[in-house]
Amino acid sequence: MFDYVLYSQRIRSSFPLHHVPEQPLAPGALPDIQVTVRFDANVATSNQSGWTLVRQLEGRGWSLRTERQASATDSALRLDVTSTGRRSVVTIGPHGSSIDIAAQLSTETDEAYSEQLSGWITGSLLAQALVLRGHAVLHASVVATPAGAVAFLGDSGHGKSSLAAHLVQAGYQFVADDHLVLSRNAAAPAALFGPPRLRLVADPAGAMERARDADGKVYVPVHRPTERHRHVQVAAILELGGYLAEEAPVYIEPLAATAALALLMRHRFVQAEVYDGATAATLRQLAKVAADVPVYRLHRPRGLDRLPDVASSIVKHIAARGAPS
Amino acid sequence: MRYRIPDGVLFQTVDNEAVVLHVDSGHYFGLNVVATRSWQLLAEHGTEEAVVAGLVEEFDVDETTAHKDFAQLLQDLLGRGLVVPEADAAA
Repeated sequence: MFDYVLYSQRIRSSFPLHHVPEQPLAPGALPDIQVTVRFDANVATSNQSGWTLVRQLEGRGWSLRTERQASATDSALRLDVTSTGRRSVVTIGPHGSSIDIAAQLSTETDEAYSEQLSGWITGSLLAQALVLRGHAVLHASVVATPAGAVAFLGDSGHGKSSLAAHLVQAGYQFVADDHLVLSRNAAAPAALFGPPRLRLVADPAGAMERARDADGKVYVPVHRPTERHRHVQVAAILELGGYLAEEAPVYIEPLAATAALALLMRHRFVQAEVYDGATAATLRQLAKVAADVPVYRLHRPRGLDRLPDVASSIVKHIAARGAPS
Repeated sequence: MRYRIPDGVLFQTVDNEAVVLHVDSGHYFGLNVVATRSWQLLAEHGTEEAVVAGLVEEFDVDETTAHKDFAQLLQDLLGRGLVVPEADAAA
């Protein structure tokens, strides 16, 4: 068994998680989330009884079927996933307390698949478990600045990881990639620390041997000291929309609270009603975020060579507002 | 005519304004301060008359203007399925 702490959750896994330092639990301590991976040549077909379909997605070479348990009080999710010909059935237990994965694999020594599986666990699966645990989770990458955490919201391919990577390279502390997980306990909206790795577009020359996700991204480890703080207060949230022309100046457009709330809701990592009242609960949580944290739409010029200018404009803008109280 | 908020429509205030979400369609509708209060009055009393009376009492507005403005908002809400006539609410 391997022990980790991610998003302030004590995680015990039967499968080693790549890029995440082990943090053994104190003797006698129980994990918040237990992860179990079982490899099986023949993954059993889902039993439909007692489960309700909440979402079915298909893409080139992959499919995902998400079901929830009919019981409203003990919410559990089941994901039936086929990707590159391999099938996995994942059960995320009541209140996100367990993630059980039955993965179709002929051998465990497939390193590329192993990295992919690890990335899946620390990414999408953990995020869904956290939603069942009552956290609001947004599709965002997060970096800590002296004024507080700055989260970049955006759909895949809008450059949030690239912007976060640039800021980390410039010396800012990495908080999380792909998922802004909000603390349930902090007095003001605060981001929890995720796995210390970024998902970036693969460098075609250097990534031939690396595991790639379905969208072609690879996992790049990020240096981060062992979690010292439980969370970092969110100073600003920026949505990365489309690009302006290369020569255009950076423009950071403030949004009114109602527009901000609608925007935050659109960037929820899990949109489906995965338990009774899930959408209403998230709406309430995000209303507090929209009221307390400035939310902006970032209009930025196209081009990698303008990235330092974009990053610098954001940091200056946040610093000018001062640290959150 | 009585109206009500159908199941699957969520209302959330933020900074004195509000967002209404139609869960099934995923559509959001922003309400300004007066529209937010109109929504609350309609949810509480269910009639156009009660909303107009409430608006006249709470805001600096005459009955004709309040009626006209609310009628426009109501048509918008009905068109988006965010409010339904009471007889249709169970459908």
